[in-house]
Amino acid sequence: MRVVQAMIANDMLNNLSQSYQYIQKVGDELSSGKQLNEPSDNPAGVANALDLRAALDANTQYQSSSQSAQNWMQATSASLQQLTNAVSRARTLAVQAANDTNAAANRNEIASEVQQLLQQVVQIGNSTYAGSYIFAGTLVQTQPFSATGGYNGNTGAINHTIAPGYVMQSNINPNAVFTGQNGVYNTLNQLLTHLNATGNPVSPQNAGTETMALTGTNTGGAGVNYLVKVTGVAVNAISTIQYSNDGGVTWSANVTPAGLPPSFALSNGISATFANGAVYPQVGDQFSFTTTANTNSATYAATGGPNVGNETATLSGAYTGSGTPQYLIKPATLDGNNNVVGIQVSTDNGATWSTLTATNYSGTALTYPTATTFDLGSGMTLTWNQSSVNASRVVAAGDTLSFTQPATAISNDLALLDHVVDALSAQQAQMGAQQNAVQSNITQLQSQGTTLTKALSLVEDADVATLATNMAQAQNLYQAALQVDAKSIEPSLVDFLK
Amino acid sequence: MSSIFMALNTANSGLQADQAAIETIDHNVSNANTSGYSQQTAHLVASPAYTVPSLLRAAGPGQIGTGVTVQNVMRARDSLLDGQYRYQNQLAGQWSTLNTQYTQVQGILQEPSTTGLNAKLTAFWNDWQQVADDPTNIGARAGLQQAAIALTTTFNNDAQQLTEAQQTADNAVTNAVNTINNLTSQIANLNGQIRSVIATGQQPNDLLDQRDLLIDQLSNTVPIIYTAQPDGTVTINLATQVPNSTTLSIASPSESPLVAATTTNTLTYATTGGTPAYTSPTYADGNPLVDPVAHPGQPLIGGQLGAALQMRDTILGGATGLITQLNNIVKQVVQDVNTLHDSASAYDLNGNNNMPFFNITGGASGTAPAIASVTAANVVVNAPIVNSPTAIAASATQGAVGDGSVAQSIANVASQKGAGGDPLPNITIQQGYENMIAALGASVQQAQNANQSQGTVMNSLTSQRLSLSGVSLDEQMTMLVQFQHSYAASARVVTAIDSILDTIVNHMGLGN
Repeated sequence: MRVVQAMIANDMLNNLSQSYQYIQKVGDELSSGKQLNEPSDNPAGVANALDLRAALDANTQYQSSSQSAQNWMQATSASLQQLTNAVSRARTLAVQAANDTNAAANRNEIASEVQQLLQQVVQIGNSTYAGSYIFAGTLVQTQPFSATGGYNGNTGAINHTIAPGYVMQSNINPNAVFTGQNGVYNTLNQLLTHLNATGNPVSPQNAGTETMALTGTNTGGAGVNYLVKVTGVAVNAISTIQYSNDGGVTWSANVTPAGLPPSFALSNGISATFANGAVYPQVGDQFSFTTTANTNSATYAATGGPNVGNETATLSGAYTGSGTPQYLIKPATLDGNNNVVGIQVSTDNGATWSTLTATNYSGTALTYPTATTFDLGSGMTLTWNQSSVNASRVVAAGDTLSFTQPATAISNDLALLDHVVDALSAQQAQMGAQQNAVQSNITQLQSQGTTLTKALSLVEDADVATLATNMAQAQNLYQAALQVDAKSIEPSLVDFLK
Repeated sequence: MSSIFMALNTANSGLQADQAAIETIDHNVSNANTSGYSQQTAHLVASPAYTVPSLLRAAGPGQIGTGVTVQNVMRARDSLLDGQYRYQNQLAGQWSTLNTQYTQVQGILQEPSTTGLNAKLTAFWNDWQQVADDPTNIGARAGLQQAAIALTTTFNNDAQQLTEAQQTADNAVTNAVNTINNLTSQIANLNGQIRSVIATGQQPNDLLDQRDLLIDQLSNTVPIIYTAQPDGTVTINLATQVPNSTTLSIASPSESPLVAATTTNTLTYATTGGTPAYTSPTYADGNPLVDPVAHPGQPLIGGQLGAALQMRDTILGGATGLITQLNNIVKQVVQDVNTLHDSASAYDLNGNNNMPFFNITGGASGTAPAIASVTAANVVVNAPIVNSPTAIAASATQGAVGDGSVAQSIANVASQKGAGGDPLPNITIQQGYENMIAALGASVQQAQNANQSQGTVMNSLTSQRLSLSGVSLDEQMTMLVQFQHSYAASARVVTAIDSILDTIVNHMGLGN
């Protein structure tokens, strides 16, 4: 091929320019530390890098969300722990109150401490995290609990998305522990009411020294707790007892023995027979037993009128109405033999009265004393028991009975408090499990973040060692080319012609 | 019988021819670096012989040479190589223009970086999630507000700069048309001069070189098909690349050529209308450069002009252009966010609902803009949200300020794929943007590679041309020495004949 000077000059310029472009590219990569500086450097790699950057940013955000969820749950957990402590303390106090021998003074102290606990519960219910009420559902800027336990929040969930599609509820449903009939506030409040109520539980005087045997076949249900207490003693033998199967709130009328040793027919076909130990029975001795088949009956003592304490009515049947209305009942009509054959019933605290006639009265005078029964509605039947002990204690118009369905007492409160503690423990366990899940999620996100950073670095970052080597090589080549070109371009025949 | 004076003439012809050759060499050396110059050679031939008459026969003893004459001075040129060069040159013009403009466009989008749209989009979605985590935190809301403003500003800037790039391409179109007109008028002028020189039987080497150089320049601007005419003129037609082949086709067969002898078909341009208005180049009669009958639906492909049109109308503008792609991303973002935010069950901190998050410049703040009217250039964050971050709706229940479910739903948009009829169907917004960047990167890479390889092809062709047409100083010097000696020899012959004549005139005859 014929080579002319212009070709050499052109080629030289092109080659030097290409070398210089290469030096520029390597220099760019070295100074930015990135091998991807423009999409055209590696289109697929850049798309990959964009994806990795977005994923890395999202990963950081999920870590932040996880931490936020973690903080919420820690705050919730801490408050639940405080609640559990308060309820446990209340339960301890309730046990003390139920077994209290010293009556009034101690009970008042207990009641005032329960009052304090109640305030503490409201305070815990109003705890905040970062300015948000944690037990207010999603109404985080509304104080959820009033001083009287009223709830102003909602049941909305505070959700944190801690990973794609992984939603963590960081608060608890306040219904689970706070609000409702069996919530913390109501339970403690009920305990407080019972503590302040009159009608002290009677403690046994001869505990452990006398025994009682049960005979007969239970016609009622299982699981009903009976309390039996001695109410009369004659010549070292028990002459009368009373029993209660609602934890001592109501007691049966005095039951007289059917023979010796004293045997007392209790309700539902159950009889109690007492055997004396070394110590004679005392009035106020108390027994407790639990039936083994279903029964639903309670006997109520008169609470007003001339014959208070001397007559009772027994309620039976299953309550099918709603709520827990208080019934006031008073005799309205007596037959010729002083049997109650007509009563008046009020469920609105005596404002209105309705008249009922005994279902077993047909207008003819009944033999005295005869139990007359009344249909109260809502599945309840009332049996009016006439006193057989003393004929002079006849039923008189104006006698009043009162009962509330269902009746509650401190021992029932204990069960309710246990229920509340269980509910709190369940919530705490759930919070704990969720916190563990979030913690492990954070660990996982961190490890993913590291992997993503590595991947991004592999895609995006320049290999400095290789680049520096390439740069040195390129510079050497460029300098060599300059020197060689400078020499080769110079001479022509002209230089040698004389 | 020949005269001794004839020998003197023969020697003289040698002197003349050598001088002509030396002058040609001189011309070559002078133009060694003139672009487009082809080395010239004086072709010497022996002049017609003189038949020496004979006493014995008519044919004589033989012919005696009468010396040398310069037959012609020719330039070294290969028209086939010129054809290859000009075909490749329009490709070189195309790829060089595309490469330059692509580099500008690529710079606009600033990817991959922490300042590009990708980072802004990611920050936007993440800030929604942050608001979802803590909807009553004004700091998180302000962060989202600023991220949204940064996002719309980036969209606006990108759109503006892409439009500016489109205008740059439009300027390139105008410049190319002016360049074509300038070159064609010069070529037509040279056609006239060349034709008149050739008519006199001369070879206008330098004019031909000049015209070839202009045709080279023209072929860089636009693809051409040219035909040499017997009278020495050249006819040039505007051509276009035939898609998926390596041939050119006359762009508009019904139009008169760009250059025919001394007349030109001057190009002009009309405006495309619309805002901004662009240049639509046409022939003098107003017809489009590419005949829609001969090349249905085809744009002009090739040369700087074709590249500028392609950049302006297809790569940046048009239904699949970058501006449309960017608009589709904006539309998808606005549609997804507004659908969730401008809802009866999306409440802000003040308990208000039904508030669009994004709007367009000049849109009523209470009404979500029609998606068709949203573009990257006009998208803004709705005024109430710019005024106060409390207007960001995060809650699905009025007054339930701790509820971040709406914010979470919006944050989740980042990982949701568009529905069938959406601006970005069946892909996430992130994927849509990645596809756009990757496709742009691939196109730029292709342009860079094509530009580089086209440069190599052009270098090779230039070398081949120079190898034939270039002036080699060594060669010229050698020839100079050669003709110098030849000239000296001829001069010596004259001296010898002078001596002979001296002998004959002064030393022969009566006097001696």
